[in-house]
Amino acid sequence: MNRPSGTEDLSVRTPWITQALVALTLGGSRREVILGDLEEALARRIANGVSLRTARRLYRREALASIWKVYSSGAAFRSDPEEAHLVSVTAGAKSGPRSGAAAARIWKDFRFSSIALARRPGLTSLVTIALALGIGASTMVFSVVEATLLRELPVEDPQSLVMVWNRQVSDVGSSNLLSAPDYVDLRERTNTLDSVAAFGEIVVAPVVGTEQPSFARQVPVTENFFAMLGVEAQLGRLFDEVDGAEPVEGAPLPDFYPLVISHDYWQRMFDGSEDVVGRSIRTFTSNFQIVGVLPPEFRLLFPAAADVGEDLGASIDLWTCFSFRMSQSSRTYRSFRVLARTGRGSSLADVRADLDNISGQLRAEVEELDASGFALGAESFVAESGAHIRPLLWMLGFAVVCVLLVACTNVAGLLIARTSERARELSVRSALGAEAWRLARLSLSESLLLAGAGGALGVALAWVGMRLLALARPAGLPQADDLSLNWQVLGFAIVIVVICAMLAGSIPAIRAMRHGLSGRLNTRSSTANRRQRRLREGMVALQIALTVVLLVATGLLLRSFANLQSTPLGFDPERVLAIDISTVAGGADRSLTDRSLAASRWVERRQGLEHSLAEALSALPGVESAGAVFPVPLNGIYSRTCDYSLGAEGKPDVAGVAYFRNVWPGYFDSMKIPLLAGRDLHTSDDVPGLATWLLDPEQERTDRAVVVVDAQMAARLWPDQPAVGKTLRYTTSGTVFHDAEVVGVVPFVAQGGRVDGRGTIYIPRSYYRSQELTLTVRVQDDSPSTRRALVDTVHAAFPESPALIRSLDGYVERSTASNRFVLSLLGAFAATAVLLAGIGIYGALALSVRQRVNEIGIHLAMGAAPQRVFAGVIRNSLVLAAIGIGSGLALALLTSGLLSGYLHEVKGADPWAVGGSVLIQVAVTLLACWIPARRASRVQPMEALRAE
Amino acid sequence: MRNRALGEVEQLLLFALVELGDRTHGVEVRELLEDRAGKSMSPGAIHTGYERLQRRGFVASCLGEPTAARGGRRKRLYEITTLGAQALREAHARIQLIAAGNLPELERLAGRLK
Repeated sequence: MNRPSGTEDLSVRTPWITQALVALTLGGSRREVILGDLEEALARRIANGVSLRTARRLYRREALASIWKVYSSGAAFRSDPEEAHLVSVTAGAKSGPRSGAAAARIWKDFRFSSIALARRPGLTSLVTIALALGIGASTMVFSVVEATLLRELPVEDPQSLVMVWNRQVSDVGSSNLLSAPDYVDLRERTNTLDSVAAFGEIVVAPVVGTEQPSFARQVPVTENFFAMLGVEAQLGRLFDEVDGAEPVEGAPLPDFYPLVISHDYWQRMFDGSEDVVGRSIRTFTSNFQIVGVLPPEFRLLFPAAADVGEDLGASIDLWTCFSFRMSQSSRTYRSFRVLARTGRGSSLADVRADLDNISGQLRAEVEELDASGFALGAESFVAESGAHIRPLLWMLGFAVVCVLLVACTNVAGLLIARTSERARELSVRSALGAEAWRLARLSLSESLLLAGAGGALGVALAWVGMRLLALARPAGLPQADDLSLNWQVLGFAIVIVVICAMLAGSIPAIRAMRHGLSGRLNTRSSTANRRQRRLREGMVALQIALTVVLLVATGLLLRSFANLQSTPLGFDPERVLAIDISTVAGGADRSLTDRSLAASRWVERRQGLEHSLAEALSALPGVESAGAVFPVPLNGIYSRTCDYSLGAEGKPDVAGVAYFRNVWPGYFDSMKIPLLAGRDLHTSDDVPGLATWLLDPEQERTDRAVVVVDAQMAARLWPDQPAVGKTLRYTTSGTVFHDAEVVGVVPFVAQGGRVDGRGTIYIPRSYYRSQELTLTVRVQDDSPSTRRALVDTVHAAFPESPALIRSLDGYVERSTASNRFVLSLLGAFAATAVLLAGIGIYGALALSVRQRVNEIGIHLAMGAAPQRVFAGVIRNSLVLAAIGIGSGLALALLTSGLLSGYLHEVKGADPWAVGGSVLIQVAVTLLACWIPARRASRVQPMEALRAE
Repeated sequence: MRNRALGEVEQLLLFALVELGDRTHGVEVRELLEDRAGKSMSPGAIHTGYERLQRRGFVASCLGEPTAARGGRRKRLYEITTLGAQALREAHARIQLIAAGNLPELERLAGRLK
């Protein structure tokens, strides 16, 4: 660039962004003088031979330093030296062209408004607090909504992901899983899905060979799982074709299987060490070598129906890769949950048609599939994930709108009152020549200032609220770790603030304009404008109505929660210790190349050890009874399901999905689950030789098996007959039990806090091959020495097993955490609204008493008793409250439909909820009008009249 | 009794007005302080400094005419008041009184530290 000469093109050389920044941040003559100085210095430097670049750099530096100085010295907040009326030198020209006159006027408006507001600290703080509460609550909820629903899943193009289910059994609307061959067929035949991946059953695997044996949640996935999701490794690599290659017949087992670990597990177990790739991890059954670490943001939210917990990405520690002959394994062992990506140009409807087509082909080819009515279906992953939490968020959103409305009407009411208070002042100003628009602007700038202050305080409140939320770690909300105020949330808060200001400011502003125009100087201050008062009172009534709606909603949920709490669990958790163990004895014998023989020996050995553990536990002093179960109720991570039918009774179409639990004899006793009919399971129910047979599920077994069912199953399958003695056909992990005799019936036991209509089948331990087991031991008292004795006993039988010991009470506690969380959020909203309504009532009455001081004074002077004045004010506000409560109740009854899905045995018009709300609102009204009423009754007649 | 204490920057700003005379504006002050006192100050610092002095009655100011070199903006012109001159004289005298006999020793101490 050529060095410019002369002063003509000065503007070209000025760093205009910095200039604009100064112009924006500084006001009055300060802006003009400082900008002028900067500009002149720039020109002089250039004239003195300083390079343009350096001069501009110095300009920028000095400009920023100036802004900093003006603000840090506090000068920005003091009056402009031009208006300071201090010693002034008489100067030549006083006026000149001024740039940014509009900005200066606005600045002036704000300054004037802030002075006016500072003069009424009580009112100002009331309004600010009201706004802060409204804005804080809404920002907080929006943050939660954003974290759970609006935030995109951190996988590639989540919109095109679908879940594929087997819809064959759907008596309770459950979705079901695919077998490995089903998956292979689907993958080969589809022409609408780009890639098809799957993951299997989640297990809690013991990690051994370290100092302290521990548990890790493990899930197997197909080799293309991560690639399909578009996830990349944080460290090392994820699975590839080689990892998923089918083993060659007769080849020795590999020394190590590849393993991917979660970011969280990496941090927890390896302290985030960089050289973790290549290290090995041993579980009882396999040796793994870590090949990669997942990125921290990997998340995968599944709908509740998937039975995998809510966030697979966050809850799984170890990811293994399927590498078995999928096409040759059993069609009845269905553990695959399939995720697929729709191809370009295919809609969900296309996919469904394609899947129907494939299902038809497979039913024609495979007899088993035909018999079971195999039918594939697909759901959009994004639509389903988080679906269970949506009504809840709607409800919270509704609560937020209520609170925000209450806050806005509150502020508007207070501001209207204030404007009417200033009616005279405004009239004088307008008579002296102030434009109506300027008066309106003052009113608007006042509300914007209030909204700004309320907004800042509100965001601070929301921030504190979020910290508390994150501490509470609510179980019902996934991604609780991510809860934070981000810029989107802040943007939301700002929009709310501006809307608040516009709403609250518009009515007073319009009034200000009207006042300005009519210029009613002669209005006597004592005559409170009737219409104004009615408007103000209407707003108070509206606030009360909205508050009542919230109170009723909270009351209903509270009642529902109490009902849920008092719903029998079906067992007695008191003094029961739950000990997670892994019942694998020494691992599989790796010298045997025949895998099934090795495994069967291992199963038999485990059986013996479990028997002796059961005996040892019962013999411990301080132990009342001991049992074991898998999976333990209310564990919150997973459940196991099985398919059943009444095929053995000739009714194969009576079929469904049930939860199953694998139990020791003694389990019911230890949990105090009463037998409603029949008997408990015995050790003699074990089927000899079952261990070997379990490994070859294709072979049909005709030995008599026994099961215990819960009352829900019994009522569904045999409504009018005793269930004991009936037979049931069921399939677990591919093993078909053709006729299992029902020997006992127990009550329904809550499944993870969810009531979904599925029943439960209890099967003897030896029927199911799983290393996972939770001991349930009822002790006389839960002391450290008892716990130590229990752990020692476990280790005597299974030396390498981890033993994670917890009280069952804790499980119960955690399972209700999500309900409690919702309730406390709603409770906080209701409390906020009550507080706001209280502020509104107080503010409106206090102002009205202030305005009617003369009227009251006259009354008192004429001999009215102070008590009557007091009672009059109270009566007045109670009438308001009655109107508000009445309309609020009507609104509450209309909106309680929103809640119905969340209510457990509570009707919309629950007398307790309604009555309680009315009582609270009346109490708050009385409390809020007490001080104004007292003030009214203590008016000094002489003073009031003198003021006239 | 009004507080007449003056900080170093305030003294510099007042001395600049003594040197430059009446109707002095910010750019001149900045250049003088930079050249003569080796002190670099931003316009913001200069004007807020003078504003503070003006509130205490030590300085008077007014707005001057707009000039082209300033992009058509006016400058603020300052001059020292009698009160300001007295305060500066006292502040400077206080320093000189205490400094008078101590300068050789100060030299020695400062040199020793080096």
